[in-house]
Amino acid sequence: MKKLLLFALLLFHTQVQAITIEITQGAEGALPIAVVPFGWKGPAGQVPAQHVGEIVAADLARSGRFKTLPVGSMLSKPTAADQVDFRDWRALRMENLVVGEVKPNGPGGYLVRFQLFDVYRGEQITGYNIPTTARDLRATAHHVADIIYETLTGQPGAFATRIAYVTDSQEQGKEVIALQVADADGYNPQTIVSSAEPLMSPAWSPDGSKLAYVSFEKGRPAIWLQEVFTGRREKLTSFKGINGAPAFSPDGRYLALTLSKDGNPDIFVMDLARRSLRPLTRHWAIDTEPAWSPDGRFIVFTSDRGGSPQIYRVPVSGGEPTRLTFEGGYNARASYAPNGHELTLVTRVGGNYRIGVLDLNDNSLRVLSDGRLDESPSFAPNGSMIIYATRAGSRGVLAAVSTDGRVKQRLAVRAGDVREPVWSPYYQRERNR
Amino acid sequence: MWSLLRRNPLAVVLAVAMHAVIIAFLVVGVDWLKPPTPQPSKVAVVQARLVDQNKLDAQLHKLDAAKQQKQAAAAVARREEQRRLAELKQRREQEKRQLAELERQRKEQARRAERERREAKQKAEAEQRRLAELEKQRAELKRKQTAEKQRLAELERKRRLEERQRKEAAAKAAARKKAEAERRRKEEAARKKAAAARKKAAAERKKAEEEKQRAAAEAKARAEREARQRELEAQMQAEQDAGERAQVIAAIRDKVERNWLRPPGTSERGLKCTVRVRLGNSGSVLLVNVVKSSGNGAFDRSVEAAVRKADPLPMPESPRLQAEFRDITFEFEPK
Repeated sequence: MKKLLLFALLLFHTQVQAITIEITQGAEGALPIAVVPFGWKGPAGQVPAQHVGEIVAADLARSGRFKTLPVGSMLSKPTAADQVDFRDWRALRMENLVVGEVKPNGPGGYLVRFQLFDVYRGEQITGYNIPTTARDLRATAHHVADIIYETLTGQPGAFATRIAYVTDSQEQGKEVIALQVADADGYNPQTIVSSAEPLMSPAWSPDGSKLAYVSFEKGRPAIWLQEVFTGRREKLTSFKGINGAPAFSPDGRYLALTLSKDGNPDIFVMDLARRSLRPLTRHWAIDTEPAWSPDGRFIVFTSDRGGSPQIYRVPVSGGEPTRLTFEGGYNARASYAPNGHELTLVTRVGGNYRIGVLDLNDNSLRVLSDGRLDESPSFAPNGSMIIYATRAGSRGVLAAVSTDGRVKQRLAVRAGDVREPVWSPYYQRERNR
Repeated sequence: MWSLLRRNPLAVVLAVAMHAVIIAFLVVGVDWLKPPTPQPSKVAVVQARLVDQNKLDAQLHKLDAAKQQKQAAAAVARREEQRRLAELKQRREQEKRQLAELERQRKEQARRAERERREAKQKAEAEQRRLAELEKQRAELKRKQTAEKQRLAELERKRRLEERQRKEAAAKAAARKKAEAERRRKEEAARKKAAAARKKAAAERKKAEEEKQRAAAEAKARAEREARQRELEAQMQAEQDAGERAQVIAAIRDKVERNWLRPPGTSERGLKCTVRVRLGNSGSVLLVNVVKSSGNGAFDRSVEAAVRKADPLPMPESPRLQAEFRDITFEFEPK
């Protein structure tokens, strides 16, 4: 009898014990997402020229964090929640689904509606109705991509930003060099300034409203400042010798630049309000290509004081520069990532010039591109992508690579040589949103 | 002396005369040698022509210029040669670089293929090992079961044998007693019937007594045997359960790991997420709750998606074990 009681107790004990399973392995990769082409709910002859679904899918794929499903593989193409059958998407192993539609909304206006679903949970994550116009339809599509990116990855998206770059083309037999501003995917280029003499080194002000650049229009290099939206421009410096490589400070009050008026190229800092100059480096070697850290305390620059071009860092208040790069015989054109502890730069590997990312915490250098002559890298304002100039055959073109090196994409630009891209910061209204 | 002189006057005169002649010769000075007569010269005359210094200079210049030209031509030829050599070298280097590039790419591909092959092989080996382990456990259990069965059969046989023997012994004793009572009645027919009846009654009472004791002893032995058997069965069942539980846990872990797609950049950051899952009887996922979030929303969502994508989870066969598996806690921590 005692033994029976003991057995009964033992059986009960094993039933109460809960099961815990440890999972330590899994695959790492881009999130599978399906963006169904947005439906058009207006008259058949007035389909808008911009295909919102395509723009959203291209943006998400270019960031490297998402793997979009090709339209040809979709089993059904719903445009609203009541048409969605989650089994269609689970069969394709899609974890997220975006459906939407565009409706006419008054004369020349549209209403864009989209919904984001979690396929395996079978419920909607978020949805928006966005009124817009025909002219802003593309910008709205980028905004939709930003919302989806931020909802699923937790980081702000950078698709509704712009890039500035220099183009060099032949028009009626003459060479024309222009500074253009386009959307971050290369569409909608607008010429800001054009000239027959070289233009170089564009730099955005931190509020995205001004561009500083170097122009040779008077025969000698000078640094100009131009407002992007009004076109007003003024000359900032035109000293004897080199005036180059302007870079705005994060608060927009100072401009770092390279001047050789005292004999050899050195870094100077100009107070924009007072137009006064202060030398930052004083060395017989060449110091150029300054870039500010996001907290405004340091400037990194390229110098060959050690015998070959390498990256150095100096406090903005002045002091002795410290060397940052020790791998390779050529490291130049460094600029900070928005997180403040990574730099992107041009490094020479073998005989090729490639884009790399230097982690300042552990001094490791990661090479991201694989071209022969890649240059002018520039971070997106959310730090997830780097835009740079590369060569395709004999032409200069722009390319973007995700910061983890996973996705590389060529950007759509017109004929001619394209070089020196810089990514704009977030616009003021974006930051307040 | 003067006497000497007076005695030899001839000698004196001769001496004085000689001395006078010598002195005369000394004073006058007669040249005994013949003066040399000039010989006619036999030297050849050089037919020389006067050369204009300027013309000479010009000639020298021309020679110089010719030499310089030749040198320049040689230098130009040398430079051409050098340039050609440099071009060839450059072209060769370019080719070499291209070859090196191709080589590197090929090596990269080969390395990648090799790595994949190695990983696949390692995975296959680990799988095989795990299956072999499970097989071994199952074989072990089966062996133990058959051994138990054999032992129980043996015990049963022995019990039946004892039973039969005891029955035979009891029958023999009863027969003997009956014969004894018969004989005594035959010998002493006259003995009081009461005494005979009393004896029979006594004998019968004793028999009943023995019978009861025997039954009690038998019952106790049977109870003990049954208890031991139940103990063995429970032990076997527990071992079987443990084996099946481990098997099902491994199958569940496998399926969830196969379906877990982590967002990029989360493998080295020490993220850990715990979810609690409620399952139906056939392994269908009814409820997923994040008990402890990792702090990264994308990571948590990937964990929940992994469990849902693995629906239906493998379940054990016995209903008793199924009850244990209705409520599972998963700890996701990439290593």
